[in-house]
Amino acid sequence: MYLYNDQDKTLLRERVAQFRNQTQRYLAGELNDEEFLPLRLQNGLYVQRLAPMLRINIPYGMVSSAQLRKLAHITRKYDKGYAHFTTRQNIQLNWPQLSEVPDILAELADVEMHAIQSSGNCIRNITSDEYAGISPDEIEDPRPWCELIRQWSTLHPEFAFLPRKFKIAVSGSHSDRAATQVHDIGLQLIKNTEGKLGIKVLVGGGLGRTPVIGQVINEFLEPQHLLTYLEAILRIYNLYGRRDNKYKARIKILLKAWGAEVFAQKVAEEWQHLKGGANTLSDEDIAHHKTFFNTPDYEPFDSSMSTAVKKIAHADKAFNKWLQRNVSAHRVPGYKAVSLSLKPPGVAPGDATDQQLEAIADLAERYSFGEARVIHHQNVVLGDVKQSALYELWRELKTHGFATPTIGTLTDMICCPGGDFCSLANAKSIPVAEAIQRHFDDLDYLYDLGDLSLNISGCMNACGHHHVGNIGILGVDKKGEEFYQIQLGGDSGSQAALGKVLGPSFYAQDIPVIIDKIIQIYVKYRHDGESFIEVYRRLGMQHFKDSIYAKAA
Amino acid sequence: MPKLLKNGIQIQDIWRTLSADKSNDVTSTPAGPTLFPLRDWLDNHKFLLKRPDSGLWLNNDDEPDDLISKLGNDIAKLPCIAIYFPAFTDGRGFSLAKILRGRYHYRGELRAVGSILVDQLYYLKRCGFDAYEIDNNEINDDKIGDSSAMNTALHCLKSFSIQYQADS
Repeated sequence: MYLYNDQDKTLLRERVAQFRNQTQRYLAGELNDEEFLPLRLQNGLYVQRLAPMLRINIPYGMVSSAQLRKLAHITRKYDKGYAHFTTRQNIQLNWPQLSEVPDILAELADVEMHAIQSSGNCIRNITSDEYAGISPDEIEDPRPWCELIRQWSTLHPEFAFLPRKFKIAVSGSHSDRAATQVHDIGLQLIKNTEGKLGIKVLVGGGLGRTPVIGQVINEFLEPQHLLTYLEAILRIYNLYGRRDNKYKARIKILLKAWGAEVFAQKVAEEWQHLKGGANTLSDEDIAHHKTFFNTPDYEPFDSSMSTAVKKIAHADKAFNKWLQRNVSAHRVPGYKAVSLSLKPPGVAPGDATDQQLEAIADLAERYSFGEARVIHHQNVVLGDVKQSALYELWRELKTHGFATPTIGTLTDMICCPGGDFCSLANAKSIPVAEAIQRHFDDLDYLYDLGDLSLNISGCMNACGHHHVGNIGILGVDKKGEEFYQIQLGGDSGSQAALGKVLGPSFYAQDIPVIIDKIIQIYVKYRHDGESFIEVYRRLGMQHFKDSIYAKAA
Repeated sequence: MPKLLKNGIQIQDIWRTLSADKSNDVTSTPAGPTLFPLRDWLDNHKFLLKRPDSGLWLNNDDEPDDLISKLGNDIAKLPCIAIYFPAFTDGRGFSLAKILRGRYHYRGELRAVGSILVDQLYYLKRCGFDAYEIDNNEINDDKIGDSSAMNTALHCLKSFSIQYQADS
């Protein structure tokens, strides 16, 4: 994990002092609401429906045991004893006091954490693959590159007042787990036929009101030019992105207006002035940042251990199910990545209590070199668990409520906080998620359905990524009443696709039954081993439409 | 008369600004330091270059490339360029400043005018600005820099001692 040096620490302390001063001036009436707005947003502070909300960055998802303990402490001291994991590898507090936020930021700085640019019209937290550095299909570890971008984008003087928010994701594997195709900039680390590392650059993807899949503007960027190239993209966007309408201000709108070719050309011209300049990465820079993500001290592989685990799994059905759903392959023999589910029935997806945060800290320390990963599916992953410790870990996870063996299934939903908390939302989302969980409580049935993503957003801002769920649910407001629109066919992976609307929307209470009907169509028509999304692609939307609305009529 | 924060003190602004809404009669403009909008420069650059007290007033949607196509390297000779911020949330002026300083090696006075916050001074300075027109009565009445608003402004200019970007 990246460790802060004295300079990094000084910068964080100065940032806290700056925001403390700004908060004092706001509370004293020297700054008005309008002036304070961008300042507090760029420190992660929203003013929400019931209370302020503070969004804390977890850069590219890596979090240490010490940091988790600090977060637990903060939720206890300044909040209501729980936090919410978001879909962009951030963590949110829902009940902080405005006047205490500088103190919270100071406590975070003590453990090398911050909320800088976690919101506002600037470059946001850099996100990545939850299995970075450990997945068997990895081409290059994206984390050193993420850290270089994090530093470059932090307090960048030129790009703090962009037309709109700006999100960058980096993937380094064959399968894209970072949703790079639906980010303002998606970076894919690749190797050419000579084995040389390069970066494929996608621009203009995004969800929200106008969901779009990003387009490639550079097939192979030499890595030392990463920052100057990003600078060229951001400068073109800063100068020419629309500012007259906030709903047309994202870079995807500019890309659409110009076309990818013209946009790429503009960037290339701008880049000629920046290429080779001061922000060019030296081999030493790159090597230095890679040292923070060196392979931990793995023990040599002992094949008798994996045999032992198989034996237990054979005898213990529940353990076996958990192994199948919640444990993933690791590039090092004898190690596995374990997903801790934050989605037991009856809990808002992504919520974790102070005690759970501390439990994760302890488990990470004892089972995974003191590090955990926050992932965009709103769960937590222990990345480096010895295979021989899996059974023991599973028993501990059960006592903490982390062993719900439903990772990747229908009830492992992505869900935004919705109308219960968020002032933007048109509709509640958490109660809908809970109703679906209650309806689909038969584990054997869930396993039989296999991989299926269901994403819920409470409004078209799409924080719950409903466009890229195999099944997406969107809360809409019609004359003050809450309705839910269903979309099918979304996918955030390498075959990224945006879902299409099934048809007229439904009442909240009807959603579980409608989802059930959709699932039944899948079950009826699937061939051996076909996943939901594969069946959808084969049958097409009309088939689902006809069945659902014919029956309703 | 507007005032300007420069070199840590509030100074009287000696530059006059001509309207950017229409073409000005450049040749009959009286002598004295004057900021001419881009359009006047595009129409009369040869004349204005001979006038040592003519500066440039840029809207934040002006294309500096247009100017460069006429002025070329002569832009480095200008004594003063002002970049107008229509709203403090509109960050185009930051990029224009970087382009003028970085690409065209402009070294004269670069001032931020219009709607800016003292909390933006650090970023403005980092992008190459060295003079700031701040709309604050307390600051504007303060010549020697000892009002609390002026102190805040001066403090904001040096909010950070550390920076990650190598070039600004």
